Amino acid sequence: MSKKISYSEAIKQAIDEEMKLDRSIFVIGGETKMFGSLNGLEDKYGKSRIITTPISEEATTGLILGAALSGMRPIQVHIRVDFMLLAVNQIINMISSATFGSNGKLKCPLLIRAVVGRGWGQGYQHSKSLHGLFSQIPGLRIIMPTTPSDAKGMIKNAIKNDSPVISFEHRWLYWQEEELRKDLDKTNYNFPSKLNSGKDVTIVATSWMNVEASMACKILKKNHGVTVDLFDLRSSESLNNLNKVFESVRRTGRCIIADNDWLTSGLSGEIAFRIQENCITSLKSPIKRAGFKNMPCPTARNLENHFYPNAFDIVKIVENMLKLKISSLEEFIIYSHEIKFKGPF
Amino acid sequence: MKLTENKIFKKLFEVTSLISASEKIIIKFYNQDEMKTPMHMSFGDENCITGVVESLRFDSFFFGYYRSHSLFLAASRDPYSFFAELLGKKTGSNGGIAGSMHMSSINNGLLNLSAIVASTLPLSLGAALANKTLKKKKFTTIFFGDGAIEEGVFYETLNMASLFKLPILFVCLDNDLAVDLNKEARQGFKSIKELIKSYKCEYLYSSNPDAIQAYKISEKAKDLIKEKNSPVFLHMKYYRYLQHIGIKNDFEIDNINSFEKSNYRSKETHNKFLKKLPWENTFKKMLKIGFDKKELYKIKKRIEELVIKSYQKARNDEFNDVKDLKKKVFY
Repeated sequence: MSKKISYSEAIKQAIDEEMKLDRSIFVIGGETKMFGSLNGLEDKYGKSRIITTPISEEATTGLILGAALSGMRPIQVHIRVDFMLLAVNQIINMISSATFGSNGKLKCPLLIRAVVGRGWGQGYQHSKSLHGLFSQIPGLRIIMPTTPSDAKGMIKNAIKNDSPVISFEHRWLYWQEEELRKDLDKTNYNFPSKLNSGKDVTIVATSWMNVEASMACKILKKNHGVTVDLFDLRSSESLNNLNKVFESVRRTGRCIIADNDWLTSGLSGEIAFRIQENCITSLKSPIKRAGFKNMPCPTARNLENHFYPNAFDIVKIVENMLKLKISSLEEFIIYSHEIKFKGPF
Repeated sequence: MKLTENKIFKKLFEVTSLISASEKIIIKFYNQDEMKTPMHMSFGDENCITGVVESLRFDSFFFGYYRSHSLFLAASRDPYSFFAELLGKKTGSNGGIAGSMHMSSINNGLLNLSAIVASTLPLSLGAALANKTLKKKKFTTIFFGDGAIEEGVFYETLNMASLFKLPILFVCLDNDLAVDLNKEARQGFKSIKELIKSYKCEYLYSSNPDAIQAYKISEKAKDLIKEKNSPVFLHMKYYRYLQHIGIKNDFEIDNINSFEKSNYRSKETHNKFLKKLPWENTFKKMLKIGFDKKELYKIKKRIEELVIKSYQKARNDEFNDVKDLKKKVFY
């Protein structure tokens, strides 16, 4: 019998298991539903540990910092990353430097979970990703779990961590299902995880772009017999642990970064820089990138499709890179969550 | 005068003397360019802060802001780590990483100060929640200037503290100035008192208190927090003797090296306040309640010697090693 669980359920299990063990953990936010990832926890732990606040993002983020410095392990939730921007002063001016400013003496164990919106016309203020922006700040750890197993393992680790962590969770991932890996406690999430093995091209992806890149891998294999090494970056700490990616690029000589974010001055540029710094003599062609178009996210379906990169875009980049004949993609359907989601939020 | 009261008042006098002497040392040596850190001098708020901190010393977390010297010294009573921090030395309270604007004294409950107006206000909410959950200390005390009241997060914080009935003492150190702007130029509300009264938060007021008055009103605030099961806003007026940032007063600002205007206050008012310096107010009060003048001068002298020795010792200390820095970014 399949024991598949969803990404949403995996996060709920992670929080539940940790809350059971440690009374200092509480969840707080203006909207504490979070696509089912907190289901049942208010009934189990009460309103004093699942705290619904007024819509006061900055004060709530200041609150979790004050709580963390005073011995608690708070988890703040934002139903959209865009709402977290009201608390940027607390995150970047206050949280990121709290341990450093104390000469390394004060722990700052807090987790901020933020949902990356997409689809059904979310538009330019409900769909940002921004993990690149926050990963630039020293003192913050960024995680972007893609699979249910990683979601559970990484959220558990983030709660137990004594430093601030921000989790960027793509809303379409909450319904992805898998049987959880057995080694969640033993996995080192500060390294990229390998989602596919191949010999022709190396792809490094983040968040939802792993789903698109995985589909691109299947199409490329079927249409061209091209195989891909696909790595999920999954955390900002992985930037310091890219040796497996370097080895892969040295072997394939080709590399694409598929980032679920804007490209300009972003995380994709940082990854590409580190790869060229370590693999320049092995590269057979320039590193290419797939990411959001350089504009705010538009609302209408056709415009939104233009804004987001998808599996077909990755396939085309590979075809150009390897000078392959452009193949037909007609038989393939790009995943859209709107197959089951009809609004409103 | 009870014996315990006697002890407390003596401590209040010692701490105000410590702050006053330390500020004088900074003024004397700042131009030697060894204390390379922007300083928002405390000269003027020493009685207010000393009184409140002594009253809550053993049962509160403290948060504050960049005008930090009185708060740090009142909480830590440690001029050596104070000067070492200002001089950027390894032995400083924060290893030279924080400087004047972000000092902390963790063992004494002073957890975080910020250089950004109003930014530590919401931290008090979290510390108060932690107090409740972990049954640690009873109160959380947050110090801020009147300029913070014009920031949005002030209202978010006051609202949540009132809504959740959190045991927080909000201490507004009101000098009528935000940098060089007086309240008429920046406040669109009728009064701080009316503003606070519209929340489920108690309001107390004190104007230019001596340290004993400040202590007593803080004790009253503690009782009110318990009795009313609500936060208390303690509004303390005081006179800021020096410019917003730096060691001069507004009549001495040259307008070349300062972003502040000059002469933004009346000379007449300034002269009036020069005749009633906070330390002297506390000194006179101590005499009035029966302390011996000679004994008080002896205390003052002892503390002045301690302060200059601390400064000199800190000057000879080593700077922090850069190779240790990276390890302190994450815990």
